[in-house]
Amino acid sequence: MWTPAVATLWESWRLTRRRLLLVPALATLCGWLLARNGVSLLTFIILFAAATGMALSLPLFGTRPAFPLSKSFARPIRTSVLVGTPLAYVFAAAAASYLLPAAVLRVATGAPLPLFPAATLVGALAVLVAGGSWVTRNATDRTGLAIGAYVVAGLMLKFLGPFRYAAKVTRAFSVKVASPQLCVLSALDYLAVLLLLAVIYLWISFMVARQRGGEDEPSCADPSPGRSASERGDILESIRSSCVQVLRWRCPVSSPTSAEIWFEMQYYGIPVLVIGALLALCIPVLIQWANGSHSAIPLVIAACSFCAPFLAGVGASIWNRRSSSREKVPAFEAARPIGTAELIGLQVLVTTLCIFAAWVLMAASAWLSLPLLTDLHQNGSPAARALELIHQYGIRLLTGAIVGFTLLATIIALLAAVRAFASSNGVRTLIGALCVVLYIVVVIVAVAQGWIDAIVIDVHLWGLVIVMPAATVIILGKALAGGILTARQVAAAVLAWLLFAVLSVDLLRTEGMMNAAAVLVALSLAATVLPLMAVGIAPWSLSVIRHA
Amino acid sequence: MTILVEIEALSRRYGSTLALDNVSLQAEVGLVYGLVGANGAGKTTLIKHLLGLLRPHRGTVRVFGLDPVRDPVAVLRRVGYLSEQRDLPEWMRLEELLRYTQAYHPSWDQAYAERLLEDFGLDRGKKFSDLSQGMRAQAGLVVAVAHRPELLVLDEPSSGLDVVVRQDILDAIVRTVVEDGRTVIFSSHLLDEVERMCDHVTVLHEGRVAVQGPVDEVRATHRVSQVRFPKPLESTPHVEGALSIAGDGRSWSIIHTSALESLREAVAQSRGEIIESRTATLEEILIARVRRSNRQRQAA
Repeated sequence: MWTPAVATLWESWRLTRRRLLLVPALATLCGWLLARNGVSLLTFIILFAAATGMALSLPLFGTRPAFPLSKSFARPIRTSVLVGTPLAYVFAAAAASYLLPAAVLRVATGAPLPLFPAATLVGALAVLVAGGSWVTRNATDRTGLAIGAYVVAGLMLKFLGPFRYAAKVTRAFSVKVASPQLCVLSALDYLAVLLLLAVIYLWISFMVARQRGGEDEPSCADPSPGRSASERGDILESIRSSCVQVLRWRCPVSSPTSAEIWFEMQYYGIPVLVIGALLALCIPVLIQWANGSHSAIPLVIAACSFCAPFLAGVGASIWNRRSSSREKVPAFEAARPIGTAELIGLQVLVTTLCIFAAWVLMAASAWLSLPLLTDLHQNGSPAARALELIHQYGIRLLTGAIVGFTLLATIIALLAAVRAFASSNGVRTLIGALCVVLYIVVVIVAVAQGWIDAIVIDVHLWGLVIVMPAATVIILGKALAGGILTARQVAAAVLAWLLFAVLSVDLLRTEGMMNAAAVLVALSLAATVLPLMAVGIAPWSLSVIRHA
Repeated sequence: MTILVEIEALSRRYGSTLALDNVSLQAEVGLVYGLVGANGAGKTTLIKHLLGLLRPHRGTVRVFGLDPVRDPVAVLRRVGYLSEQRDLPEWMRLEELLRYTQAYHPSWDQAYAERLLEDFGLDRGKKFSDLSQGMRAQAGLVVAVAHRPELLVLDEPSSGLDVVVRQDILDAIVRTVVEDGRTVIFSSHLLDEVERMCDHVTVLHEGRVAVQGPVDEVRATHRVSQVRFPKPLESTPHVEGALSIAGDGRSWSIIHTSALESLREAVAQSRGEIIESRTATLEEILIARVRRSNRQRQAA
């Protein structure tokens, strides 16, 4: 019978079916490869990690903020059912994404994997994530709740069954064998999980009823219904909106280039700099904390924080600004009278500059904070030491900075290209990428197991040495033939690349890389063409989606 | 007469759906061209080809004698475009959008932009996230026309505009553009608007050109005739040259492209007579064409 609950269940399945089928299948495949070689603990870790990933992503359904099935608000269905059905689905689907692969592998290979307790934890985590994201349309509140949900999840893992055996787990890692004892829940633990789920369900129902009644207003950072990129209304969008409010300056009208730089800086570049500056302020605090607590964790956090400007920079700045329609590039961007090569060039340049500047700020902060670590003995003040280093290695530092900047720009441009290709050929790109990853894994496992000779890896590396320059020539030729790049642009790119290549080779030589194995030297030299490849492939890929 | 836009045998496919099938269109300088058709007829797809936002799968598109995919800058610089989606950055203020667009167009006419803003009553300090759909349409229209483009392309410009703004300001803008010797191509589902404003109309149906030509000519070749038969008919009468026949019993309304005399002869065979005949409106033509196409498809 087709009831509202079944319809809601079907909709939930329809929105999540791809990842639900794909991820557990891949995890099972990887797990099977490992389990049949007796590495059962790693099998457990892979299955549990994949299922955790599912638990984190499943409740988000799509990109719609707050309750994902809000289109059903106008349908004749009770809120309790509207919330209960997808929530039960999320729990069951996440739990099944661990339980089914684990059961299959347990039967097929005899690996002693824990079943129901681990599946229950995964399901409960999915419900927690749902609780953190479904309850409000306010971006800031939602971000805070999500962080809270992760904290609760962490506590849950710490105090529930498997992690009461922390010492044993550590020992278990050394023996490489999984055991059902890795994850054990007592009846009381199950009851606690059940209680937690019930509380979350009631809370979500209450909050969704508010959304349904129009009482839950989105924050100013939340978007109007126009654009899905900003529809996520996440913390990054909040930062961008706040930055635009505070740091706003007039758009220059002197040339399209200056207007384009203004556009990129205003909404996408400045927030990256602000994030860098805020983190630069946090780094001394973290270092002070590490010094006081004699713990490495704050230092690890400080090191990881360097990822933030990069992720913020590439996250939505390059051709990820989808419109509400089916267009891959919003008409506002695609119909600008500016060449694709100029457009992507400016976007990559602004993004790279902002990320680089943010990193410089953070690195300077870390350097200047080093005296806070009393265990670290330094000669003189950090500023004096920095001057001394500049005096000693000035040219090499400059060379390194230029090479690093170019490599960063290359990575950003290549990511933009991958994203563009993925948006125009989503499934094919995904399958292609998975095939490549799978192939690499198979080759590595085969070599590690001694099934094939190690020389196979060398053959692949030599293949890369040939493919990279050849692909660069083909891509540039295609871009030139398609009118995406002009001969002048290509000539300028080649000249700039020559300078980069000379600097890179000099850097490799001074770092002693030239004495490495021949294949590695050849690979390093061949990799210097990547910036030139990016010059061709980024505008080409973007032209594919701009002129779909 | 200078040809500004030349589309030859254009075809475009989205997966298994043929969005445009062998469409040809020429636009001359100084005229208003209307694209009409039901939802999904291919109007927006055709417009996107003009701007180079879509690559033809078959056929050619030339705007100002250039290929808009190969040479987007030269084409887009001379075109004003209002998209159906009104996709404007939420964070931008109207003032900023005006300056941003101005930077791309040296021919920007600030006085004209100011006048339009005043006509629409738009606040230049407002962010787009604070504007209604109608205000967004108005803002989009201002930036599309303020650089005095040689070709103005409007995709459903009336959508979101109230009837007063539509009749007063949109008409005035289009008239100004044409009086300046420039060209307008616009799509609309409001057929009275197309009839009022256009010199030339292209009716699209399921990606194909159903009817094309000067509006007066298209209307003149389609007639609506009221026919009466002496006895009630149980089934729809078969009349040669009829696009659609509606009615029941003794009175039937026939939309036809055949000459009135031919219809009279055809009707006379069933002892019927024409009691009234007039030229068809675009709306009647479109509906008749769509229904006939649906009938043919069902029959096939």
